[in-house]
Amino acid sequence: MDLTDTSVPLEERIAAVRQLAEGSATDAVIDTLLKGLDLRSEFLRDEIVAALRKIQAEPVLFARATDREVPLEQRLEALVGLRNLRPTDGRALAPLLKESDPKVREAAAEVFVVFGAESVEAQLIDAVKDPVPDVRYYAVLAVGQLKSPQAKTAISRAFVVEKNALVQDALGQAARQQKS
Amino acid sequence: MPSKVGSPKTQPTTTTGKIAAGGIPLPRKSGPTPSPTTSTAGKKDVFVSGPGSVLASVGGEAMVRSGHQLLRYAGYDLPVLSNEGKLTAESTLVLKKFQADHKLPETGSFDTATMVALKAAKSPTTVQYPEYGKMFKDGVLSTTIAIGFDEGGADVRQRKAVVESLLSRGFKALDVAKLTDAELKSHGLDPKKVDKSATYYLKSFESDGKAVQSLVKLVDRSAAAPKAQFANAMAGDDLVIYSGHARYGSGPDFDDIKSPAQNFVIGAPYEKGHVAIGKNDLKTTKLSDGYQMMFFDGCTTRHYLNDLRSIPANKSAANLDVVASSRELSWSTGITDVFTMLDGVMARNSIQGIKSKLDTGNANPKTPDAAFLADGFKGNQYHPTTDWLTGD
Repeated sequence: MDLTDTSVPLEERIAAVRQLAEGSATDAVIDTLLKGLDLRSEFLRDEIVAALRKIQAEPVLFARATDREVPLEQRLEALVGLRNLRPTDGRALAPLLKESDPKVREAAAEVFVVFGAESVEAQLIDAVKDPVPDVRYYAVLAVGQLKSPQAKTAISRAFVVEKNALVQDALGQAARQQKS
Repeated sequence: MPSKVGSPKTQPTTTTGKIAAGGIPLPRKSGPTPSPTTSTAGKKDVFVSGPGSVLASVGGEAMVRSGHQLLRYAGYDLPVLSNEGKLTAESTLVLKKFQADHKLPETGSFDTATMVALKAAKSPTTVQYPEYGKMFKDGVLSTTIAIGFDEGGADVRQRKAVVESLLSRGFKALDVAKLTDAELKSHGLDPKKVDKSATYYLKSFESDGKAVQSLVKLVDRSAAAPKAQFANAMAGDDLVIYSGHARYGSGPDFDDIKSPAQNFVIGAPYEKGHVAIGKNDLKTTKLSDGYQMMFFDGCTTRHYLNDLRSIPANKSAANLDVVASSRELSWSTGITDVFTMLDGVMARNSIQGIKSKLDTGNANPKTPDAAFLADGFKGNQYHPTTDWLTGD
């Protein structure tokens, strides 16, 4: 079932998610659930997150996200899934901040805005100097959540050198976060 | 105050007060008679064609400006135009659509035959508009784009996309915290209406022959006090846009669903047990007495209408128009929705045109149900005019 098909009553889609939660973490099941996360329905999102936890999708998503043989789109979707699951330890994703594909670096930095920035502080501070603005944007936001002297120094230094207007917006957000 | 661009006093005219190029008189209007300032008498037909044309002729630029406005007058929605006197690729498409509809050669030019047809055309009275005259009256279109919190961090991506979209449209960050009142006034802004703790973006554009400042305030989880900033928007902004979770019909929310701290409560949730909220903020927030338009881009935000239409004593369909959703929406269409609304308002599009784009962008081929509803609008007075153009 396409969980984003709003012509199907929400109750039926939720029932479908609950049924999937009773199975195992096959690729097809995980793909169906991840796709449903594009809808803003909180009802559905809560059910999907519960289902992903129940089938123990977390290790599968970590494996997908970090495997360079997996197609890019699937890796990025896996990172969206992890953003929603918010695992307690995200260190396994730290190497993604150094990958050659900027889309992977960007998505990895984005994940650390949502969870686990403390565990990869040094790598994120490095990413604040990434050549790609989209990566720097999320790296700045992630570092902005940290209150250590190194994190504060990284943000204040970036303020001085950053010329990109998009990243400057992230720096404004980060500065507010660190002050709060 | 911002300088006026293309206002009647500065609009190039012939000594007889008619549009120079093509010699096509505009419909007679009751507005003030403009003072002729530039004589272009003696010019022959000036055909201005193609996007990005270099307009060496003052008469040509004036005719394009007139042509654009006549298209609006005829009920054709245009894109946002930084310079009304210049054809763009998008406005050329609209012009060609008009020509096709009127069985004219699709030249993409404001040629004589097209101008004659434009002069004779007028949009049907069933086409309605937000009250643009009131929204732009003070020379500032004040907008808040508020992005609701998502537990999975989708709002972080939305914020980035909003800023990218603003920058790509020529908006620039305005660091209001560092600006003096005099400097704010130099941008055409009223210091009393600017929240110095908020993030703003600014762009000038042209509307009905006047320069207007489009001032956009961003509110999201990263704001100093997002709920308070959103309340300020509800209290005074011309256009309020919220994109995010609807929180089961209870109102915008800028922190975790389990926290009531940053919910701006607009109504009771339609199902209990999911969202933590405080008291209804519509009871303690005095909304503007003036006209406002609100757009709630979240799942089934039509629920907000119950209390929006019943609680604020100073609000009615006469001074509040609302666009809300009637079903679930996707994250992937959120940014397009936000800018369909902002672009549509800046371009003074009809509400039918704006809603049609929103519905198309969120269409589900398996159901004919529209994604959005427009509440209010029916009694609105605004209609595109040609008063500010040169008249006869």
